[in-house]
Amino acid sequence: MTLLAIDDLQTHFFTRSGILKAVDGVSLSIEPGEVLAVVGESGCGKSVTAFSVLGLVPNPPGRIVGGSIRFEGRELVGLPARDMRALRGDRIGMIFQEPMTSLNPALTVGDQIGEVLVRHRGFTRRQALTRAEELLDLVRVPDPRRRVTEYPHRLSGGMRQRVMIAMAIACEPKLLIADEPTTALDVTVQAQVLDLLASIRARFGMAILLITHDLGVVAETADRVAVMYAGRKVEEAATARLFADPQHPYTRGLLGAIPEVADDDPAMGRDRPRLSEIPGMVPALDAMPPGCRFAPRCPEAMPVCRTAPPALRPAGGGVAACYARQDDRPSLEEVA
Amino acid sequence: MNPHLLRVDDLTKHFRTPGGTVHALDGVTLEIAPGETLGLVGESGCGKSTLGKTLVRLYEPDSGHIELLGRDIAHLGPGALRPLRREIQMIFQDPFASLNPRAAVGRILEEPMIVHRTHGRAERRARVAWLMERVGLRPEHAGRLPHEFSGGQRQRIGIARALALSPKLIVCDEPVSALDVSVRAQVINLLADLRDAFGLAYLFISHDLGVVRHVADRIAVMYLGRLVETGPAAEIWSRPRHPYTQALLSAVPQVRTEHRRPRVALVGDLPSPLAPPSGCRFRTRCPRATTLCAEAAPAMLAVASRHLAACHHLDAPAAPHAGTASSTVLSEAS
Ligand SMILES: Nc1ncnc2c1ncn2[C@@H]1O[C@H](COP(=O)(O)OP(=O)(O)OP(=O)(O)O)[C@@H](O)[C@H]1O
Ligand SMILES: Nc1ncnc2c1ncn2[C@@H]1O[C@H](COP(=O)(O)OP(=O)(O)OP(=O)(O)O)[C@@H](O)[C@H]1O
Ligand code: SF4
Ligand SMILES: [Mg+2]
Ligand SMILES: [Mg+2]
Repeated sequence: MTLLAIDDLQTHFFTRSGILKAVDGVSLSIEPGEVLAVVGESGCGKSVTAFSVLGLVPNPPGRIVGGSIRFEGRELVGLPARDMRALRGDRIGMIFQEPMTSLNPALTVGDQIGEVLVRHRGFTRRQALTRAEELLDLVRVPDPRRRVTEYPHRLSGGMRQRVMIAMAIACEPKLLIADEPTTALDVTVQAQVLDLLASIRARFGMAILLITHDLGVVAETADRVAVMYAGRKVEEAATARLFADPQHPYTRGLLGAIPEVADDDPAMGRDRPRLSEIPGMVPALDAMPPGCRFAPRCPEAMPVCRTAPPALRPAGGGVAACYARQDDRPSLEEVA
Repeated sequence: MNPHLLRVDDLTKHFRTPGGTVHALDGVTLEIAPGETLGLVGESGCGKSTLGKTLVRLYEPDSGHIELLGRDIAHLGPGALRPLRREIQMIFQDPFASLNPRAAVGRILEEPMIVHRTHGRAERRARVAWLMERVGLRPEHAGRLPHEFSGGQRQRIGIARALALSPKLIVCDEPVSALDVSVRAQVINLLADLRDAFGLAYLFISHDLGVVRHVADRIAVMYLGRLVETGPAAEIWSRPRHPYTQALLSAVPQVRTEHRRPRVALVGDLPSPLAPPSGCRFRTRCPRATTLCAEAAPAMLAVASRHLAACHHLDAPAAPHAGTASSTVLSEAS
């Protein structure tokens, strides 16, 4: 059974300046043990999608106004808050970019991790501390016996992120939602944390919803990738396919904009080719173009692109929402 | 003629804090030629920004020399420094924090010209329009406040301000780190265009090694306040010699499979700059460390033409392959 199935999710914010459709009809699914990466630029709705699954959308101003989120077959939209709390930290683990804001500065590392086990598993504090030590060892924190007694502010960024991971996996969740888990870390520490996530996933058969804007991280860790742009999913494919043969002009633009130099390429500085650019910038949520939201920046835009949003259709082994990738492209009259 | 625009010799900067002395820069030596881009990389806290800020004299160095156009500016007083200040400007990671939120963009761009009395009023107006156009902003937006611009546009404002006095060198401290991929490419291309148009030299600080490889002619790698390796960008990329550089490069996630390197896993985190390790500062995380590394600090030695590295065991066999390295760590843990 599909572990998580998000169908046509609509999460909107009701603000003084109007309704912001932060997530506007997004569908995603994750199979058990799978890593699905969601990529896209700042503000495209990645975190709001994750918060929607976790029942953490701040309300007001935000609300899920449509669609469904099924986890292990159970509908999460409209689930009572206490049932949602019972799921979070138990069947669904979560880690965020800035561990310090999610850690309680007044609790020792041991009590912090242990608290999850006391709450969800009915452990005694003693049992929980012992298990916390084992978990710290599992996430490769050196000297766990000493660390359980320390406070989070004494730890480096990488250590804090490991503590967050230890908390998130304490109850061996089936799904881990990781929102930019390594963005604040140095590359060497990022590599350690990503390796760690991979080994935990293998050990517990845990699926991961990995949110990131780093395409290199995606390429090295995900099984499948969904690309979001301005509140919508514009493309999805198996990782290798997406990078080898991107279909949506936005995905192509993103890949072209990354400077990646082969080991043996001699060109430096002024001899390097210009990067390809995506002109302009992401439209504001309260001023979305009517058709394809990428049309104002798209090198392939046609008149039909400005009429109605393109639907996701099979393209290049995955799906893409782009009129230029649809052989049975509708005529202008049909759309209107 | 001096072939170097900037020559930094044995530069040291410590911060005395309640917790102790932070060894932010210790004996840094480097040079930048006119029109050259030197990329500076290294982990958070290794001293990159401190070096940048010391070069533009936002920080007072403890010792060492900063020779700009043949004059030592490390210890010049404000009056003598002023004419040379123009030649070296800085742009920052967070363009918003570095722009006065209450000043219109036109005013922000005019400011350096007023302070340095380089242009008359009418000339300044014209130059503001020219600068805005040059960095891809609309001159008719000169009356707007910084918050009315997007992140990428604010970085363009920062770049225009740095250009106002026609400097020869711009210290770019993480200029694209806060920007999204698509906008990042625009700003990187802009910096390249300006370099070509005005013969600008850059000290380009970034933790994004891919970006640095793309923009830099040469790369300097820093670890805990010291340089550990410098050399031509292509050579650092293809034949890194210092074990830290090797580990750093192997950790960069690559989109294309063929660009991936076997991972050299580093154990542990960066040690505290309050008490850097004796001898080689990298030894606590280094796969090649021996007792010698704890006893003596390795000097920067030439390993190839214009390529220097500081390590006692440069010729030790390459560090273990990814698979082996991570499985060792794993088996320790489980
Ligand atoms: N509490 C809120 N009130 C109003 N708007 C919000 C709120 N939270 C998010 N939004 C809006 O929803 C949109 C999507 O935000 P989201 O945080 O999901 O972006 P993201 O893709 O995670 O970006 P980033 O890469 O910067 O984390 C943004 O335009 C944001 O301004
Ligand atoms: N004004 C200051 N007072 C005290 N300590 C400082 C000051 N500025 C920097 N430091 C310390 O000096 C060291 C080097 O800091 P610096 O900001 O130069 O690092 P960096 O390489 O730029 O890091 P990042 O990549 O995070 O920007 C750090 O330990 C930092 O905490
Ligand atoms: S000197 Fe020693 S510790 Fe330092 S990098 Fe070389 S081998 Fe490693
Ligand atoms: Mg986010
Ligand atoms: Mg810095």
